Amino acid sequence: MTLLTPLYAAIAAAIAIPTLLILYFLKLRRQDVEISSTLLWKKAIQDLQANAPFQRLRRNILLFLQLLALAAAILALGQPQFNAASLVGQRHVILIDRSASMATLDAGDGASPTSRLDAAKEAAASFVQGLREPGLIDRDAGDLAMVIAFDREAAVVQQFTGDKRKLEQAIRSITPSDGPSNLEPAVRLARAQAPKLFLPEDNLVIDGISDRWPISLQVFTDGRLPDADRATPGPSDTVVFHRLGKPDTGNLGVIALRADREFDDPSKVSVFAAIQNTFPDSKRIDVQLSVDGVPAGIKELTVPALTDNRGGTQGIAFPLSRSEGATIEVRLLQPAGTPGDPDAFSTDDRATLVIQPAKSLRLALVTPGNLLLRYALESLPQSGDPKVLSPAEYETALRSGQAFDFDVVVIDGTPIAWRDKKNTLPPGRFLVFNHLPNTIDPASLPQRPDPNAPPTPLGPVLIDRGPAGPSSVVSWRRDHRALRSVNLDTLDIFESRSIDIPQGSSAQSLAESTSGPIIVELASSESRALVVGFDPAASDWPQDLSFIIFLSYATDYLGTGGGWAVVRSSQPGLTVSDRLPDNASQLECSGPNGISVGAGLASDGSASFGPFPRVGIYTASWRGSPAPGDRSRNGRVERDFAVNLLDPLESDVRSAEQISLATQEASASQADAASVVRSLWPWLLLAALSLVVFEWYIYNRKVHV
Amino acid sequence: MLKAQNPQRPRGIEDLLSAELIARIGPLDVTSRRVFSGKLKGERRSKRRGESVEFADHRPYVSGDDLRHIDWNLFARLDILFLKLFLEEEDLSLHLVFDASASSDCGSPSKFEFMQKAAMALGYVGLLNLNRVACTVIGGLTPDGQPNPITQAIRDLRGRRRAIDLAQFICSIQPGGSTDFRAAAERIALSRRGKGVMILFSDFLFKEGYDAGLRLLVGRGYDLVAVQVLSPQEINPTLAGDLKLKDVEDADAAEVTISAPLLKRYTQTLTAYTDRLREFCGRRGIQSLLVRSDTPIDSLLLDSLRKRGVLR
Repeated sequence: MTLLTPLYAAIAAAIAIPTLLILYFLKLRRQDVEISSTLLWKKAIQDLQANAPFQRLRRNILLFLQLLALAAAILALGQPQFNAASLVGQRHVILIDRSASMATLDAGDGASPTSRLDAAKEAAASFVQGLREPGLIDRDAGDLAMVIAFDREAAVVQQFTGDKRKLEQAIRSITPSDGPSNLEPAVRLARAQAPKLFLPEDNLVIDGISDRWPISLQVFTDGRLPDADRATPGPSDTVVFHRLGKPDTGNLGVIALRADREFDDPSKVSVFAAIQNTFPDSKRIDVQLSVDGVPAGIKELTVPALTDNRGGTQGIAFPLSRSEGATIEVRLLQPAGTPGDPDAFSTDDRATLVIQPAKSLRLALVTPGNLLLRYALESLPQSGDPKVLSPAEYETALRSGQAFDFDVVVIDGTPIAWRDKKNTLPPGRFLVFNHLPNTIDPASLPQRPDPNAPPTPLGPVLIDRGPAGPSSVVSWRRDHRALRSVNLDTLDIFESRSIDIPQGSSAQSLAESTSGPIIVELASSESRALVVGFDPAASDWPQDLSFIIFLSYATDYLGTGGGWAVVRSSQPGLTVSDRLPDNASQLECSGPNGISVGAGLASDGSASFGPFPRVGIYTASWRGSPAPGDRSRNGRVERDFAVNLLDPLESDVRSAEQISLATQEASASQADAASVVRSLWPWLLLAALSLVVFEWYIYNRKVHV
Repeated sequence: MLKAQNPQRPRGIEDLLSAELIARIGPLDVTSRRVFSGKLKGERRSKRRGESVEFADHRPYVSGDDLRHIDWNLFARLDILFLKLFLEEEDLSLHLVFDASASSDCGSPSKFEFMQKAAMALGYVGLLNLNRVACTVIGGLTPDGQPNPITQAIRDLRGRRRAIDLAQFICSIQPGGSTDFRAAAERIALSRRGKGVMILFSDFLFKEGYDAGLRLLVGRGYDLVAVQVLSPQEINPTLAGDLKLKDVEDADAAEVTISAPLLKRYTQTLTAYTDRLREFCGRRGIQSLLVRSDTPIDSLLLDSLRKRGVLR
């Protein structure tokens, strides 16, 4: 039992009990009345006293009853509550994992399996019922709770409140998503929402002392939290891990799906899928491939068992001959017609993919007359012959709007003016050689009086430090799509420019030479450019295979928005961006079961969709002209996107024994430990009232002289 | 029960006796269960065989009898001497005694005022019938406000004219002080002259008891009538709360918290007290009567006292 307002009770007791005792021991001040004779009254009193047993005790009984009634009333003032001792803290943040793995049906009993999320919602609701009620006098004495639902991102479902009905409604309103789990944003959000402590001075920071009220984080999850070690609760916060699901729940899931057109024959598509098995024994499974909803093949696959606490994986490939766009689905089935799902987690039992029709990139080469680049671009298999334009012709095309029809514009050593700004890239995708666009004068950089202050954002700008002489490449981003499989070790540059990326610039260096950045990516909301800071002809690069590979990957990367040459795919919780025709308008995007997701259009024709809450095929539609591969329906152009889980960690649905946060570890607790907290004060008040009535009855039966 | 605040005292016979009351009590006469002799022949036929003209009985002659009363006619017929007995007419001594202690000046209406009026009415009846009327007051204050000697008295009143004197005496009494009933009774008993009817008005709430006093008064030839006067508030108390009850006579205090059981017990005590008084009086041939101070005087005389044979 816990007293909500012990201070009030102590004060009341300190005043009331001594007062009662003093009153009791003080002689009653009686009203003087003159009567004819006290003879009969004294006789009556004597008779009454003689007839009353335990006469001496009577006064004590009254005092005892009054003290009891007073004690009950004082205790009621303290607002005792049952079972509150087990609850830690007064500010609770209920974090409910709604990620894909929480859809696993292993939370209920065997007869009626329920999903982990439903069980989490039940457990959280019963936890809410166990919160201490707010006091009658001190409204802050009760527990407050906030509800946060998290998957890849975290969202506040209910702000701090003591209203149990609101909290329960908020908990019940949480819908599942198919995204992966990220605890760190949820903890950060909870910390940010925690009420601030009063500190004597603003900006007072003491190491190890939080400026936030201590909170108790009640995490309802299965523990599949890959980023838990980055979650940093406050030093005084407590973390309670309410584990859902079973630690031995196995799963078979598609963790990778990819379709690639063959380099030399784009009509041939290879579909690769990887299947993960987290059962303790190997599993035989049927993998079915469907194209536009029609089964196109089925293969039997044996996936190895879980080893060393890591799921066994097995890949499978389906060759396909299709030059048109298509929607491809890979589905896991029980072997040989056995009915039912192969496991308790169905989200990852199928994965879909949208492949675009085989098409060529439209390239433009803006050059005063560089044959090297022209021939190199003509040799690229994924693009047709580039349109060669002089700088003047290109600027004319820019003004007329025809320049925006090109997927990638390759600029060779010449500055481009856009809207009266010299040497500024227009919207679009550019591969720039031997010239530095978007340069600024170092003298125009803003002064920074405080070196520790964050720099002022400048956008994708560069500083041209002039010719740098011969140099060689020191390092490069091997993970960048434009530099994959490109070996620059042997590259010798005879003449390069010295590039400087000022602080505050969003430019990224992709390759570093002995004289500084040599390949730079400039990206803004309207344009993206890869800038090579030397003339290939002034190096030995054209003699190396890596030059043509770089051209191919770079045009592919730029022309398809960074890797969308074949497929349009994403994961739940993420967004995708795609290029739409320039006249596209009234953009919409809808998904499975009528889910509507956000859709936005940028001025360069790129569009963003998402975030996607569930897996499945999403359809973006707009009014305007279609691009190759798009279909038209009811006056609108439609384009499909596939959203798949494809997450090995999320497909491993074995619930964890504990979660290791950055500052502490939380072991699994039994979520059903929460029980309903009952306020005792109404009963105590009732008892006090009953005692007063009883005391009144005794008093009326009693006369004392 | 409560002490009367600034009571209106009767100032003369007109305050004590209304014309209507006089008219109603005019036919009454004081009577006694006993035969009383008086000093003067009155208009009263005594139960004693006497010398009036009204024949009562015969009895055999014994030596020493008055020869004048021998029935000679009977002697002639029977040759036996008989004496003729006649009803004797005699005057009656009516002794009115009332309590003027402070306790009698309580209640609403005041017990003292009731006793004044009752004594005056009875005295008037006695005077009207040429009885010898005496009035004695127990306790009370002297005209200068000092507690009285034990008794004050006016004696030997006879005839209607003396009603004024009786009224003046009664009106002159100021209630107050305490009562020593035994000493007062002793004084009355010693100073008593003649036989007659003594009517004693009091609340009989004497802490030292009424037994000794009443024993002194009884058995001295008086036909004693004890009228216990209690106020309505004494019979049904209307008190409430936590009180310190102070006795008006001796300032004795009783701290009480009025409650239903206490009131019930008080009523029982009062009933037992009056019952015991009635029983005590009954055993000693004293007629007793309990009246409320709000009883009309004519009702007391015409109803209660007539039923008990004190008046006729």
